[in-house]
Amino acid sequence: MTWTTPSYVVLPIYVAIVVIGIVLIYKLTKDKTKNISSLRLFVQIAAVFALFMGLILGPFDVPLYAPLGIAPRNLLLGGKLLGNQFPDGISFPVLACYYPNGRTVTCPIWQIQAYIFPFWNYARGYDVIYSTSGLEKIGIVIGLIAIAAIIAGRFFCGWLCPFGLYQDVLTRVRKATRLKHLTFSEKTNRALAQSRWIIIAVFLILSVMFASYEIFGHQLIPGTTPGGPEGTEAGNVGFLNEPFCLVCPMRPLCVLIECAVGSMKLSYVSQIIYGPLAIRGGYISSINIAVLIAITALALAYRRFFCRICPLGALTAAFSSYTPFRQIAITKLEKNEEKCTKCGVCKRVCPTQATDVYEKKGGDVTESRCILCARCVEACPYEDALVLKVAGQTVMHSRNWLEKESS
Amino acid sequence: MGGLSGIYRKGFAWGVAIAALILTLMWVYPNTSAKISSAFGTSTKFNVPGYNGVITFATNGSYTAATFEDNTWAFKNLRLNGSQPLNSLEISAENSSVMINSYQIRTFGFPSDFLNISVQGKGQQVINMGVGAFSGTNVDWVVSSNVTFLNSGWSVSHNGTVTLTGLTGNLNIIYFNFTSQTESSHLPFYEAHSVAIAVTIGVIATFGAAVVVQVAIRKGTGTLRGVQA
Repeated sequence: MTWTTPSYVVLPIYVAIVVIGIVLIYKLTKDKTKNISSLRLFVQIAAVFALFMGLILGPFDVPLYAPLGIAPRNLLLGGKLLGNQFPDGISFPVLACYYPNGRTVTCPIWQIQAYIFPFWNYARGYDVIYSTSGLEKIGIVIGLIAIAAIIAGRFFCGWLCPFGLYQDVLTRVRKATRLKHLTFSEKTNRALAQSRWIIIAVFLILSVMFASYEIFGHQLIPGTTPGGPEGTEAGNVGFLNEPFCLVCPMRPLCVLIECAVGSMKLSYVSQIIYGPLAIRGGYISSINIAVLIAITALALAYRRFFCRICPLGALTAAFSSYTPFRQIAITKLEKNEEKCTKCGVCKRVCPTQATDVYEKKGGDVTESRCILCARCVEACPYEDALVLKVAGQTVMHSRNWLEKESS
Repeated sequence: MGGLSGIYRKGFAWGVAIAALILTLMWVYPNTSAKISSAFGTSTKFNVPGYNGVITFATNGSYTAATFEDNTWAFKNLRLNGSQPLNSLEISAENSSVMINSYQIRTFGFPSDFLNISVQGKGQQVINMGVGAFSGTNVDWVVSSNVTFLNSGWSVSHNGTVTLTGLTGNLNIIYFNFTSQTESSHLPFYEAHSVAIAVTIGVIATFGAAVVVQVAIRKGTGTLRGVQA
């Protein structure tokens, strides 16, 4: 086992490539209807590299499984910076799995599930003894989500989430095959949006139930001890204390990224899928794979299907699309009623079938389903009818591309 | 007389100087005189005849004492090439041969003691690394085969003695020294909860800044809710 110094020289190179890429896309793209999409695709790819920067920075040749040794993530925005008060990494509202060693930030959904078990005060995590209570850690997670959401809303979903990129790639694949996408009825789409809250509630309740040794003196699952049954650090039941992670479709993709860069052996992954850890899902479970397949099929048919039911998207929306946060959200999609002709392009191109952008008369049209991808801004053919604003400043606006094309 | 006292004074000065040198050396090299190491090689076998067991090492190394009592080998100050020193190791093997590959102490992340062994023959092995006494809970201990944590085939007693039964192949015996983690209970409140305090300030600052931005926008556009008429 060797320990290599992280290659921090990668960071300025990365920043330079991203800046040059953004400038080039902005300057070179002539088709105004694809301008924002091209930029967004580039930012999404750059975000994946940033999220898994540990795989680029190193250190390399470290053990595959964190409890068996040092993982690069410890050098990133995790344990080293925040100590054992908040050692699992900074919560960032995108699906960036906790488990891969190369990840830069942490999925808040995992954190909330892990910290709630059992009843907020279990002192031990998989990698560390916490010096703070679960309640305090949950407060930190919610606080970090709130900061991110007030500033940028669901911009994270539209521009930075790796699973969003995966779904966008699927959309591009479908378009390449000239197949048309399907759409949900407005009633079903709203029901899907409401289901996000049910999903959050169910998984939090399951987190407590599965991970608790006993509740009010009653042992929920026979043979378990705090933290799991004898023989394991976290234990069979301990692995279930993050039930959403067992079904999360992003988790296998994180593993795939690690395998692709050679940071994890496929034999290790297959051992976990099919081996003794299969049921409890030590890393990824067979359920993860099944859900990923299902979501892939659905995302091929319905654009950004998972974003419509994503509990993390709902949490982000909670701090940007609902009172009192809606009124103060810094990033907003606004509509100029006078310039809108109700052509309906915005409604048709919206990947999550958000309708406020079409139905609302004017002003702030950001809603909880809106991922701020700005596809509507890009497609709208009327100058400044739709505007994406940050702190009152226009950063993207619709252009009169119809007139330019006809001329 | 004067010459004699001069000799005494000279001798006293020499005596003080030599004593000072010895004390200095003892301070710099406190253990040099205490330990005499015995070397062993990869072919050295430590038999446990009563149990039909054999203990070997994967690398060359040394120890200051190796005693055999109650069918158990007890090594003091064991040093394996490429491993960290192990102050005490007690090991017994029944109907099996055990090769000790390495011993590592991890202080980063999970503080842990990590003994890697290879076992041939489905027998029983009793191992005490001199850590984990008074803990004795399985939550602090893990036995893994490569990277798979094993649920059965091993147990640990309250003096930190791990008993392996029927396990073969490459095994890791890991003790997670959770108690060595820094306790923050003795820290002042603002230090023990600095992250939560910083995040709280961050939330308030962000909320405040967002309100200020919205007020400025409304003043600029002359609208009530930041919405254009």
